[in-house]
Amino acid sequence: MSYISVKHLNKEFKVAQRGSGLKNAFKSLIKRKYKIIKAVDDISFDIEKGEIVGYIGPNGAGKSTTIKMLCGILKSDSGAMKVAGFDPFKDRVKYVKNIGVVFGQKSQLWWDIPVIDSFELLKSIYKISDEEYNKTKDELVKLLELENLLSTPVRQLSLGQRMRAEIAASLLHNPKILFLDEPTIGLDAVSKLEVRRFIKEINRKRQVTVILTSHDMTDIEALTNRVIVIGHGKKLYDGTLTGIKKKFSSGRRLEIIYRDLVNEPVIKGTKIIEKGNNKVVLDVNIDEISISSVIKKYTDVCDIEDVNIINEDIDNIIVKLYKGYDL
Amino acid sequence: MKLILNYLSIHLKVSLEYRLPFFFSLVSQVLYMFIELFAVYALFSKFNLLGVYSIDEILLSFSTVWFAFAFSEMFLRGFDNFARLIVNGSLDLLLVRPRNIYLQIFGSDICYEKLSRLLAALGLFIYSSGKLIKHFTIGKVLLLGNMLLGGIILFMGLFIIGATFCFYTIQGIEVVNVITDGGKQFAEYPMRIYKKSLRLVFTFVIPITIINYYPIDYLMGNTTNIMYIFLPLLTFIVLLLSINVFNFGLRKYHSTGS
Amino acid sequence: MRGYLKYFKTELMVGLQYKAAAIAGICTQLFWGFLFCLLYEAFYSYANVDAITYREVITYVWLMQAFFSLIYIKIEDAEIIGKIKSGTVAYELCRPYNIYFWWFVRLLSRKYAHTLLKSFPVFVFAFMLPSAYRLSFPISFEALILFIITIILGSFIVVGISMLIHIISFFTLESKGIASIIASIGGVLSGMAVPVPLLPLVLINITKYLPFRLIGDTSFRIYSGNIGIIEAKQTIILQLIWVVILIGFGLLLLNKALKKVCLQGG
Repeated sequence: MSYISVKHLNKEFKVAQRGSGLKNAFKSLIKRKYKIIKAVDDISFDIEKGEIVGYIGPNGAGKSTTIKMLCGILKSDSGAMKVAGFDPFKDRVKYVKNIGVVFGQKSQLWWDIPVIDSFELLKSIYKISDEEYNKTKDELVKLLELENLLSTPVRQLSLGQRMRAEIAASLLHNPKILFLDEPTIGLDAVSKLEVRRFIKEINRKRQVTVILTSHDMTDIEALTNRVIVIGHGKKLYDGTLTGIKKKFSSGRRLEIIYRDLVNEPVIKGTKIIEKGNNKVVLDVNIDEISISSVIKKYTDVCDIEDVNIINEDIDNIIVKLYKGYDL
Repeated sequence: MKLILNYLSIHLKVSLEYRLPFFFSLVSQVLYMFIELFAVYALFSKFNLLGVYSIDEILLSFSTVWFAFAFSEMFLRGFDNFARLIVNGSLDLLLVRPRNIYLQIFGSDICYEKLSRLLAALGLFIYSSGKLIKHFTIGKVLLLGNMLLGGIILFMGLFIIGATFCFYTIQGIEVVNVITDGGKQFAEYPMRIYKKSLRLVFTFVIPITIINYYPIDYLMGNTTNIMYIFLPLLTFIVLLLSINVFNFGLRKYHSTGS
Repeated sequence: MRGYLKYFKTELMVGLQYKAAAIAGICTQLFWGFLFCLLYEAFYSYANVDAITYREVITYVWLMQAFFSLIYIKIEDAEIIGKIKSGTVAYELCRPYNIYFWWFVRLLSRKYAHTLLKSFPVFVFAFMLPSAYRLSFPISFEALILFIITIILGSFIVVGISMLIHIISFFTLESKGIASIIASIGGVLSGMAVPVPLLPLVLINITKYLPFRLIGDTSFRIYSGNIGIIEAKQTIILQLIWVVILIGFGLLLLNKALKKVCLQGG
């Protein structure tokens, strides 16, 4: 049995529908119409200990519903869930000692007081012993480079610093699983890189299983190769990021800089995007022709000075993927 | 227990972070209470009722309710502002922690600004009961304690019931305050001024009479029935009921998430 | 002038969006109205007061509930003070209008939006109650007209006071506490706690020299006939004088505040 095992998970919501206008506002007070939305529709997956998994999907796809069920906040309608040997909802109080949660938009630190005070409070919430607390805290402080921030009130921290403190706060009780919901939202480029590095380190050093959601595909790409994609509550894809790329990026873009070309070769399976000044940019459909064959065709007719293979932007691929499933 | 102390100290730290505003709030909170008291007094004097109702009786009715109310406002702020806890996602955060949810909601917000009210109300309570009671007996002293305790329990229950509404609707939640503020407003006057039918509503629907109206009867020597001493503790029923209702709402939250 | 009217209309439309909150507000107002009716019923069953009759008090209670949003003094727009403190007020100064009046209109329009949403249902409900708790009709047509004029002028006075509170809080660097202190005292003197005629004589005398009672109290009493026509007309003059004083004082203080910001460099 896997460390996290989710089988045929379902969750429906009743959503009240209401027209606009004062008349409808009064109407809806008396009688409401409901629409049933399948937020999570027969989702199954397995995650092994120590994995980092990216859980992605467009807004309203059912990501946070799934996360909430995994955290024991929401009860599923049907299906089975086992996380680290617990049923998250039934064993909630025992189970949540084993998880750490960072909701990107919601801080668990006290805004007006130094970081360390929030840590102390979490210590007593989780009933962490002094010894263990000091050990974990020192480790995390070193790992997340928080030495100089501990006595600063949270409101004076930069967003990146605050996110680091958030992550440390969620790890004080030594959880085995870490849920990260949009951990890099709003961060600048440098802080993003830092946060990613820390997540990786924590995963490696502490063997923490990490499940993260993000709209920033570069996050996912930097952190993990395993992604689960959901849309309209259904699981659309579960596998490697490279797999998605293969499946949805129909081609590679090739930039060739050459000399002495007389006749542009016509190659089946390629499309010229840009031409001129001893340079050509083409899209290559790798199902039809391999990159090396294209290059070979060019070497036959000219001298090649430089070749660049441009991978399609991961964001574009995801957009294609969503489009492919009509999201 | 350690956690409770920790919560208390962390919120005190937050309050003291902004000393001047905190000080002004302390003043304005207690000022507001005295203005209410003044309004009560003004009415009694305008209607020439100060002979019928002694000033001590008025003060005691007033301070019992305000003590209980201020206590709940101070320590049950998390329930008072429960809508905010749901809207900004804090409740989810509390639910992923391995501690009792009531304890955590209490810890989510403690409003030290109400301390001035609480202490002033307690002062009025002690002063007026001392003057109202002609002959002190153990029973009467016990009853005084029960009045304070019962008041706290009752308003706790009312605040928790109010919070339960937030599981069902977030919009226009000020209606909820009608229960707590309204109860306080009614009971800050000596309740024998009201019609009997109204008093019955406030005995069996919102049992606010059992924390000041009936006990004051006993304190003034109008009755010697021993049962009166323990009457305020019946407010426990309200608290139990409210906890059940709240748990029911929480289960709904667990299954619908809103 | 036209710009201000347009702005008033826009803000009004925005305010009218919040219907669900308004429905809740109406319920709250009805509850409190009913509560006060029961309370005064209790008091009047013991004795009568010459200054104001039971009927007049009941009418007073319901009018107060209907116009509660209009006459209630509170900090409604923390944004204003935030702008002054942070210095972003400089952008506002670039616009082709007077900053004081612009904000004045903003506060005013919010009050009217809330009042328009709430007052009508409260009126309907209060007119239908059993006679002991029913809202009476205005004593005369003339009184009704004077009521409308004075309640509008009263709203100018409230907003004038609100503006002052906002501006003062700039100098004290603290807004919540002072505002609620002023609001509490102003509340008593404007008859929010108990109708002004039911206050002790000392306080009634004090209210005569302050603008607070002109906010709602006088209007409600004109409606019910507790204040006669002649005195009602004098009220209007008094209200106008106070409006001028409050706005003048507000303008003066705001200019001082802005100068301070400019000196600090924002």
